[in-house]
Amino acid sequence: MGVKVMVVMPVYNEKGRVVRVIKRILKEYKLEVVVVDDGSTDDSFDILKRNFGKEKRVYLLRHILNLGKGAAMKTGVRMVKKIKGEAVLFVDSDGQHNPKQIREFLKEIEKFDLVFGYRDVGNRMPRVRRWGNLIAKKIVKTLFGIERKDMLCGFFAFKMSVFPKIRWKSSRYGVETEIAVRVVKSGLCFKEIKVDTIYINKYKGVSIFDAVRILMRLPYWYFGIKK
Amino acid sequence: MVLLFFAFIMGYYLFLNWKKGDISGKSFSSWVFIWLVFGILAIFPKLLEPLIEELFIVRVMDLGVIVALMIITFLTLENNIKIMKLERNTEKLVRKLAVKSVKRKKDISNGS
Repeated sequence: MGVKVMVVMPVYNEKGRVVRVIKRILKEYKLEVVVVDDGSTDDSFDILKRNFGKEKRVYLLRHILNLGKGAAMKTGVRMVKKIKGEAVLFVDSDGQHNPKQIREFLKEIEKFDLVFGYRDVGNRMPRVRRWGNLIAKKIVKTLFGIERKDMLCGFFAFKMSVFPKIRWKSSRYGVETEIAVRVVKSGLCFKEIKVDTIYINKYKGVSIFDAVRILMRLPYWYFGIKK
Repeated sequence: MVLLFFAFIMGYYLFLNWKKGDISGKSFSSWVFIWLVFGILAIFPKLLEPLIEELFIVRVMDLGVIVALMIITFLTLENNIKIMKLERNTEKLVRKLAVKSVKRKKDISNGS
């Protein structure tokens, strides 16, 4: 394998699933995993320390305060930069992303600077999210001319060399949309690959209120992000 | 009367915060000055009549609403800017601490 890819996994109150997800990744791949606990209020971090504290391939980081997914992702990227990783692959800690599909990302990141996953926006996605995703896609396509199959999928990878061009400011859930806008404005090439649609908890993730906040940020991204 | 009562309550609130050390003496006097002006204008609204004629505003109340909205907009913007700055700084600090703690842990596990 040419590119040294590292998995970055933001964690927030996922004590029930995160260990299983990491164990599966470690078992199936020779990848290093950077886990960023974003100030969990349950004992996620203690459980992580107990299970992976001595594991050489796992880096455990903890935010002393909850800053949001976007900020945790950025902390992960900072760590990857520090340990000389060449590419980052984001995987959710709740088991929403099938570790089996990491293989496809590893293959495609050899050829492309960015690889985005897209879910089938069909019946398996909860109705509110499906409509939210479609509306966001339409608005963003009209404003920025972005043709993306799934704007909100957090299963994606990029080479560290493109990070300065897509360095996001959103600290919470707007991060995927902001990255999509930055990618287009920077003229970067990307590849989209189909990933499984798994919904574990319909109350977690992007809510309708987060979607409104994302929409309110659009004018800033439209005028504020330079090409 | 309502306005005067409100100005008095605000003055008392400022006084308590000043005594607790939450606001500085300078900040306290500036706010007290603002609420004093507000109270005086509530007692003598006619003082503003030359100004409202000049600005083509019909009633003193309308001027009050316009000025209040301007102040609220300014304060909201200022608060927003300060919160964003605070969030940015907090994020930097939390990130720095998170990355630093890993370095220390790896050093220990390597026995260095």
